[in-house]
Amino acid sequence: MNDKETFEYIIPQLVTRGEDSRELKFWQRIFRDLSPELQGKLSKNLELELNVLAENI
Amino acid sequence: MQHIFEHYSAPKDSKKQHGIIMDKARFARLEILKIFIRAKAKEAGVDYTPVDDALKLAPELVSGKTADGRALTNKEKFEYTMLSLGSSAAFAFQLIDLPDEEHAAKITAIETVMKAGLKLETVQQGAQKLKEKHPEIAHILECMADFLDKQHI
Repeated sequence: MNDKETFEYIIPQLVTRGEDSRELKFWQRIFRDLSPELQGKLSKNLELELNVLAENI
Repeated sequence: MQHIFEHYSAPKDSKKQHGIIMDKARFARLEILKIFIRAKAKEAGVDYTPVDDALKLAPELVSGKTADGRALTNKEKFEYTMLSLGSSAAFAFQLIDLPDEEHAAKITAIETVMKAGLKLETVQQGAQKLKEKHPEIAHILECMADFLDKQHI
C-alpha cells in the first residue's frame, strides 16, 4: 500500500478504537496539501498509533 | 515518529491507557502541521519566526487554563495549540507585503492581540483574506477553522 492507501485504510480503524473522527477528517482534508515526505510521516504516525492501541487492548 | 511511543509506560486502566496513546499521537501530528506551515512560509519568503514566538504568549497556553481558570484537558491543549498555529499562520502570511518598518509594528500588535487570548475568528478571517495570494495556506486555515469550530474552545 502507498501512503494514501495506508492512511485511508487506518482511519476507520482508529475511529472504531475511539479516536476523534473530526480530527481525522481534518487530516483527510489536508492530506493532498502535504508534501510526499509529510504524507509518509502522517501515515506512519497513524499506523503506529493503531499498532500501539492494538497492543494495549 | 517512533520516538513518541518509546518511553511509554502502560498504566493499568485501559481507557486511560488509550487516552495517553492517542494524546501522544495527536500532538506528534501537530508537529507535521507545524513543519508544513513553516515550509510554506519559507517558500513564500514570510518571516514566520517572530510571529511563532509571539504565539507562545497566548494566555491559555502559558497558564494551561481556560479564561475562567479551569485547567485545560489534553484535548483542549491540542485544540489551543492548533488555534495558535492557525492564528500565527494567518498573521504571518498577511504580513508578507508590508514594508520592514510596518512589519515590525504589526508584530508588536500581534503580540498584544495574542496576549489578549486566541480567537477562532483570526483563523477564519485569515482563510478568507489569503484565498487569492496563498491558496494552499488558505485551504489549511479553512480546514483548521472548520475543525476548531464547535470544539471545546
